[in-house]
Amino acid sequence: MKKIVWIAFICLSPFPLLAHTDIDSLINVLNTQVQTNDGEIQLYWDIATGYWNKDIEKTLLFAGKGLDLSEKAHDNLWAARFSRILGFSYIHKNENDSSLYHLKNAVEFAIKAKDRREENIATVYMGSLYLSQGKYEPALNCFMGALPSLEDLAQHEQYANTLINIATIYKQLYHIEKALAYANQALAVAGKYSLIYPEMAGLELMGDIYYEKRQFNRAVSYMLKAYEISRRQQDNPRIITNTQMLANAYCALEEYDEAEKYANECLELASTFGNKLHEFMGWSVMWNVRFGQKRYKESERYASKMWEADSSRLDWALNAALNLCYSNIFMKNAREAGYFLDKYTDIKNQLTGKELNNSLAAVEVKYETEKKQIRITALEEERKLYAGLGIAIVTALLAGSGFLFYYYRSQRRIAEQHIKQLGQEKELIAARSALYAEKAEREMLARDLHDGVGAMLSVVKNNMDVMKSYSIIENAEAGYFHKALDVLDKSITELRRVAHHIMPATLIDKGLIIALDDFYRSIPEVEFHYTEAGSRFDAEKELVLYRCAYELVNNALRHAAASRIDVHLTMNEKTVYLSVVDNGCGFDPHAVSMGMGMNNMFARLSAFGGRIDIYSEPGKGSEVNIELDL
Amino acid sequence: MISIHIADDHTMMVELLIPVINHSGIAHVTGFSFRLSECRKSLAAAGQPDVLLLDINMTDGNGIVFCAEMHKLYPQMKIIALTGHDEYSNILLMFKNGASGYIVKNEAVSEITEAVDAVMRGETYISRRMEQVIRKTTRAAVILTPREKQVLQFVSRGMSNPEIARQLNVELSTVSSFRKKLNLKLKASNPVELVNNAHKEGLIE
Repeated sequence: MKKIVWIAFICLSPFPLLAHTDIDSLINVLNTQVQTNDGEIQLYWDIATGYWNKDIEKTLLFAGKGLDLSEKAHDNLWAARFSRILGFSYIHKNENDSSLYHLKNAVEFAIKAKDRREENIATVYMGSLYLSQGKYEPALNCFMGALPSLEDLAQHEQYANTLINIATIYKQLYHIEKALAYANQALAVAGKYSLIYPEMAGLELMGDIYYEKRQFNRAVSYMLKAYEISRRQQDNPRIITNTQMLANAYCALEEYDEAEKYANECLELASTFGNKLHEFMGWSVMWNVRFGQKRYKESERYASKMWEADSSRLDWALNAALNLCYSNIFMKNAREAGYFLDKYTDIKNQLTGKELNNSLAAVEVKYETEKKQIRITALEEERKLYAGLGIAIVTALLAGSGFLFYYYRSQRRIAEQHIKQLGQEKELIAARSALYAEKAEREMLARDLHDGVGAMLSVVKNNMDVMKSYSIIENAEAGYFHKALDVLDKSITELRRVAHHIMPATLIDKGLIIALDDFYRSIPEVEFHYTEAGSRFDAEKELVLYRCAYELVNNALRHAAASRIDVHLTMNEKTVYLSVVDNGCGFDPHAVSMGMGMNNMFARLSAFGGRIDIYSEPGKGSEVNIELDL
Repeated sequence: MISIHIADDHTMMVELLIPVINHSGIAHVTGFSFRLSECRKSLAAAGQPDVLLLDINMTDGNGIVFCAEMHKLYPQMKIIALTGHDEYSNILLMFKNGASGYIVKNEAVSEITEAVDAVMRGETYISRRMEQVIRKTTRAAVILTPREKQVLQFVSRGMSNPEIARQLNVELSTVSSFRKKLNLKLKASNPVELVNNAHKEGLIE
């Protein structure tokens, strides 16, 4: 049974909470009484924070006004606070770019105001933003950076929250024991200083961790405590999250009545609260319940809502597609199930590529630009973390691309090495995905050339043959005519060659050996030797090997002026070996810089983990050996 | 007079071939179709012609498969492939599926009469420009590259992989790659078999 994991868990301090009547009276004061600058700013603050868990739009409105006013008054500390609450609200609206913008400003304002407390809070919020986006590495930098200072300045609440966030990261990275340790530490701090929100967050996290450990009864007991607190605080976003978690946990326990109760509460609140993410969560949890109850048709309706929610959110679409697939399977709609399974696979591929690139880019940029600022004392600790983090992120994201493990296995000790490796990985991934896209495009282009332009040129050629046979050409023009016919003939051959080079049709239809045989038969200098025609293998790898074989022979003909080229293809189920031997002029492998075609070939080959050995000496021909695991 | 049906989805090509064939004096076009499905119906309704000119790449299907179907239905009918494809594997498949002629489209006008004449005499016809491709042979006994021979020599002298790597100034992994490849080529699973088989093939003295 599939389970939906949300990284919606962001632990932040609440603002002082006011009842509605209080807010209304504050607005009344704002509208009716003339205020000093300071007084007005304070009013905006109270109203904005008062609205925060009730009406995010109003929070944004009043915080924006407050920010304008404090900037006019050159009050950096207030500007920092308003920027922070703006950034915080945008996190809840899932508008990450706006959030990052305001949080960065908040840190800057705080530094200008020389207020370390405010700086700490803004930094922790920034970490939370990164965390919500799954960018663990920068998130951890923020949290770890702020932690000592938070403890120093006795910012207990922020300190506890930060501990929870760190625990959350560990949980996401499947370091369950470490996550438990940090969460317990946070709960202890929360208990000692009677901190409501950190306690709730800590309980939620414990629930989540035990859910992850599949100890559902224990998970439920934590979740219920957290749920009680969120109810007492009337914190809608947290209630939605807690009901969702509870519903999922009860589903796992197969107690569907309880599950349905919480799922309904979740959905109701979500739709009144009007936040897209919450709505999506509501539908997904209802799907879970209905599916568990074997009410597949109803579950399919919720999954459809999820599917229609927001096509730009790949992670949502991924969940939706899988749910739709499951529902349809049990409704025995094979065709729909198949359709959504395909969608799921597509999205999954897109997502892994995208996430990997994002996180790799983030890791790299971060590392280069901020390397100097990392304190030496922290370095040892962070090194260990980076190594663990990098591997966990990459493996988690790319589980299934087995080839990655090969590169990772031995070298998880030192962060520097790891970062370098990530860079290489990124190139490989990029090369592979480029190959994918390129292949599809080439196939189309080659077909258009061959069947379109090529066919038309053939008709022209044949028309001219007709003219020739009827001798309608005057003698004086015959020379030009035959010249034209000759050029046309060569053009057609050239066009075929180009089309074939772009994408050999036989390779796709008939496989590597037959395609190479077809190709080499048209070149007198080449002798092709192969061990018995094995079965077809991975189309991408066939293409890579074909390109290598093609490029090497072309090189031997064009640059080495070889008069004899032997191509050997040897394979079993595990490995393919390709050798190209020529008697041309040879070269010094260390001195010669490879042409574009060759470099391209190496890049393609290494993208698939292949190896290549080149032996050549000036005057002594050359031998190139390629090995590629299937 | 030899009757011919043309199946080709390029109308221009069909329009061009009809007068050429009709003026040849030995044959005339009794029907043509732009789709395989049309061709199937037409032959069933009007009866088989002496020769079917068949394009390989048709909009609604693969001429190679269609060739087998037609050959089975009308064994007497001669089929000549008329195609833009000049790959050996396609010739092989067409002939395997019952075709008797293969003309590349560039040469349609200049070779069509000759080809029709040849297949009606019971011979096969293949475009002249394909001759080199046909005649060339591939596949021989076990052929080793110079480098592979070197490694084989060293193995036959009883040298270990590290020794060979030092001798050739390459990495150990390169040598083991060669060893695996040699085993594969000579169908051996250990050094003794390898050397024995190499002797049998006359690759080492």
